[in-house]
Amino acid sequence: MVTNRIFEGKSFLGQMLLVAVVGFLLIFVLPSFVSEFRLNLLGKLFAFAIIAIGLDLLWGYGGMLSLGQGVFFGLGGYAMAMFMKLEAQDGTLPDFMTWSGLDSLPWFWQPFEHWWFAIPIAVIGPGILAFFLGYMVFRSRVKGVYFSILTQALALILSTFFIGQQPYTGGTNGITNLTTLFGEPLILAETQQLLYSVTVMVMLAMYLLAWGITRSRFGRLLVALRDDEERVRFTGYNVALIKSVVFAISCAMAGVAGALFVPQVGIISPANMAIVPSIEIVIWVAVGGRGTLAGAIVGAVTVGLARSYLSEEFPEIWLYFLGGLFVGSVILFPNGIVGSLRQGLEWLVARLSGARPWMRGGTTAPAGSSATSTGVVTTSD
Amino acid sequence: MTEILALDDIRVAFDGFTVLNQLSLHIEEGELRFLIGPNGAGKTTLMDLICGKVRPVSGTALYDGKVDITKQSEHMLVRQGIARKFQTPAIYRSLNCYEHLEVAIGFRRPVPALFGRLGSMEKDRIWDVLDTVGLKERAKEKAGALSHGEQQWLEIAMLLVQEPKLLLLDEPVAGMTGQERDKTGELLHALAGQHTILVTEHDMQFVRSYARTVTVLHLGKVLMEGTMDEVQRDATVVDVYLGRTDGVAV
Repeated sequence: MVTNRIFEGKSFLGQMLLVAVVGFLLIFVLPSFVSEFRLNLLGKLFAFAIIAIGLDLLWGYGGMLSLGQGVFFGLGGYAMAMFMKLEAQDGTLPDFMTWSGLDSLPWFWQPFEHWWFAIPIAVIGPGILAFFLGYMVFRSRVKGVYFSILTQALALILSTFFIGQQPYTGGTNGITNLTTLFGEPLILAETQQLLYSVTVMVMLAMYLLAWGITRSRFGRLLVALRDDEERVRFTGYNVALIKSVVFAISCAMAGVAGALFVPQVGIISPANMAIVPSIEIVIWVAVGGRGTLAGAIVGAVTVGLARSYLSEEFPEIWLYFLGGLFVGSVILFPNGIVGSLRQGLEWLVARLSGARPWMRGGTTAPAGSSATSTGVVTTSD
Repeated sequence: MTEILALDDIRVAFDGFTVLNQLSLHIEEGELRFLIGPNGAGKTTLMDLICGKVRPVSGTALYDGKVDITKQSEHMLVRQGIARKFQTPAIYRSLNCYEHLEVAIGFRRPVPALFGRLGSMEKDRIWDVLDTVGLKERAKEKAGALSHGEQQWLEIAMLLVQEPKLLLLDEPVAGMTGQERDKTGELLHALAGQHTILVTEHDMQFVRSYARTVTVLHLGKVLMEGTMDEVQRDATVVDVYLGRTDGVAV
């Protein structure tokens, strides 16, 4: 019970306190200890952590493994990049459009010159798209690996589509040379630090939102869906609708992450929304701990830091390490970093308080219950 | 008394194989009806039909005098009061008992309402139902840790908290101890009247003790209907079912 309070505390107040402390440390303390380069890296990783939180809701709680979260991250990123590109061009046609022979701004680009359109659409757009795609898929009772395969196909289709639409999307290069955001040059350390702080705050807000969802009856319904979808359907819920809502929330979070990521790197390209980044997102959640929201953040940051370190030290073979990390964590720590830590702590607490670990929870099963559960199960048609 | 369920000339087929054939079944409101029959008679398929899980090739199925079962989605049927308990207990392993009923009680609410809190009346109702099925003391335990019989009760509790009109219970006492069976039988009697209950059962001892009216299914058709005494005396029933040594005690 003590560990419960530490990791996924029961009270909202406790969570607020935790978030406030973590937020204070990350925003005011950490920047004075790490280099500008590392801070920028962390800023990107915290943006990634937002996608991981969203995927954890979908996969860890709802049991739906999406291999296409990169798509929605990319869409959010593109919306932000379109806004920033138009700002950078200052009235002239974006460079790649000129090269491709366009002589005026396409109609669907025009609203993106306003921040009040671009930023909300970076979040709502992926959410709405996910809701409708999801509803079509879930209504046909597509689930399990078939859902995963479909989402992976989506990643392939959309990244290929974006590459093919050179005049409108910048093709393989994507949208590049983003220089300012609201007039602030991206190259300045102050701008980057501000972006870092905003990312941390948004990430913590998303964490609180996700925590609230998992604590609500909707969250229980998610777990119920994971455990027995048929039972939920025959409990009177429109399963396709509920699943689409979670998928939409999850993908809107990916969109938020995309919008925060782009100004920190100054570029977005189809490579960011293809299959490989989509699978990396799954690795973050698996390594951090499926079904633990803190785990999603820890996973994204840990894997991201490991990736950065390994790619600097072993530029040739670092991908093997990443693969090894994934396989190793799945085999040795199926509950991920946070899940394993929690189990370990629970075990320790149970040990110290004298109770046997498998008896935690207080009450015991009646003697012989296991015998009755296997003994007389009659079969029928 | 009004008819809550009226099935006429129902035919259900899987890949050309007929499972239910020209089946007709009428059930009055408040009845406690037992459905028996040898393996493969179509008992579970009949339940699947009534809750919308399988669709008939032909025939009419009316619920509550007006609802065409064959035209409604599963969750809409549940919202109109048809509740189904599955043969192997279908529960959510990682939720505790109380949470099961929290999920069940919100079934008519729109999605946004699921983010709000439960009212005190609903909470009281959950505790009442947990008390009825004897799981009040274990409310905070994960369902995966319950015994088979308790899981059966938990699933029944999920139905009860929704106050359905028609309860479809597929072998509710499978895996229960003798004591648990008696308790379930008494529960069924207590519920009949306010609810209409359709039960399939394999355990003849249980059927004999608690059945009022029995419908015998055989090869996808209704073979006979009557009290347990009448059914047991009927020669054809004895021939196709009771007399057989297919694991069912006479």
